[in-house]
Amino acid sequence: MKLLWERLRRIAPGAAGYGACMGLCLFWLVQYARLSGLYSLLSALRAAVPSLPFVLIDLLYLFILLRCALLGVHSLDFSAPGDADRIGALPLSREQLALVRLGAHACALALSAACGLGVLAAGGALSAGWDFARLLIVQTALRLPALLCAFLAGFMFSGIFLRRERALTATVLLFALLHGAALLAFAGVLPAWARYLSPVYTFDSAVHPLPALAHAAASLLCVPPALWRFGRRDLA
Amino acid sequence: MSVVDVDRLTKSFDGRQALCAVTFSLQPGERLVVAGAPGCGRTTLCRVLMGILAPTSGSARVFGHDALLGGRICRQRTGYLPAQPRLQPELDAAEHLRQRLAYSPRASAQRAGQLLERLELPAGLCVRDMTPLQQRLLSLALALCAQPELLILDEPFPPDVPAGANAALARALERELDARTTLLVTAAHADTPPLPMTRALLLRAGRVTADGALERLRLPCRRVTLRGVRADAPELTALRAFGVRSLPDGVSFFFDGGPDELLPALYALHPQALTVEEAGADDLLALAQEGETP
Repeated sequence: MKLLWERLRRIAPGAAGYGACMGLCLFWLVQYARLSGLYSLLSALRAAVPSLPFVLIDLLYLFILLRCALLGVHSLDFSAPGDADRIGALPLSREQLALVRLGAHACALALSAACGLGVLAAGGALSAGWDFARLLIVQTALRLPALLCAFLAGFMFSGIFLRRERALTATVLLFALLHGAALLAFAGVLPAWARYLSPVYTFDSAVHPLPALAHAAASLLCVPPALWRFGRRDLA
Repeated sequence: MSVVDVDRLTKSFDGRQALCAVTFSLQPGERLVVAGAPGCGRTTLCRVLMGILAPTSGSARVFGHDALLGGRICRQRTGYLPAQPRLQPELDAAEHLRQRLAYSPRASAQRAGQLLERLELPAGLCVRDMTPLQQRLLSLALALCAQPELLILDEPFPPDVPAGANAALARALERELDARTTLLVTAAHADTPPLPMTRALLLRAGRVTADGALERLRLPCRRVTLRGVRADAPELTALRAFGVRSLPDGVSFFFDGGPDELLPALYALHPQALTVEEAGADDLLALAQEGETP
């Protein structure tokens, strides 16, 4: 617990600040879509007519997704000078160490999401009342499971690979592969169900509950291989 | 049961072998110095024993448990002082010890208080305001606070630190050590640690070149370095010097005779500076491998 608190204390301010910034960006984009007068029309036509604000919103979510993956990639990185010696001298097993780091980074992720949602709620309530704020919160909260998937995928590669660069490359390649398969499904090359391989297209888990659940289950399965490999490789 | 049992341990990094088939064991109460030139694998060996690095092949067992997979049990009974300890600059000695107490079931607040007092560490002074010797004493206290049965010290007496500071650290360590504590110290030379050691393990390029009681590894042979003297000086041939090496500003050689033979040669050679060091089995083995004979 001490180690978890120590780690959380170090990364929490950055995570909270980042969440608040993302919430602000998201709010600004949604406001732009709303105030441009096209909101109600385009939300109905969204599937057929991509519009700039919605494209930007999806790109922002993709960016947030990759940042969550980065948070996971940094979970089991002990390459800072003296870190491995200091942590390695503690009477903790590798599994305990990995779970503590996972817990601390997951808490930071939750804090970041909470700050982002808080900023969204405040902005929405101030600009258009609590109903709009509630809509924003619900729509954003439905996308959170995808962020957890990204985080756990990053964690898995962080446990498997010693070098942070390799873990990050593997995570990005995985996302590129899944998103590429989804695009091929849209193009008709792959079966239609393949579009849900990409976490981006399960963002709205109210519309796509089964793929979102499948992503969540797959991401939980990322943890055991990470723990197994981390317990048998160099710490740094 | 051996405290440490290393069997054909090999560790490679990206194809480069840092340790190659190292085999030795350490019995309770022994004091072993692992000596060798920088890059010979001393720190790698310490890190494998602490479970920080995974062996490429072979095994390393501490207190009968695998150093990597059973690391938690091993580290509960082991104290470790790394070559470059990392302390938190904003915390003081008492806070560092309190943090360590939280992780170590064997440590106690009483023991931590005793260490602070005996090592004369000021309780309220932040690490950033401490002298280098105080920082080293604090790192030593962190290694000792859990009353370890095995203490691993990686280069605790670096050559670039004043001899007085090294001696102070050695005195503090000697006061705190139990007769039953097993000690493993790494150093550049087997004679470096200012502590009574019982055994030496010499490493060269990751391989064990000698292992045995320290006294047996000392040979009546000296390495002499002369500045301002050429390697082809005829006096050196007459001196029966062997293993002669040209240096940028002089020459070094091995000599197994007495001062009555060396002094006349020195008068004739007029060196600008003279250094005489004890040579060990490690040096002679290197010469034998290069085909040099007296």
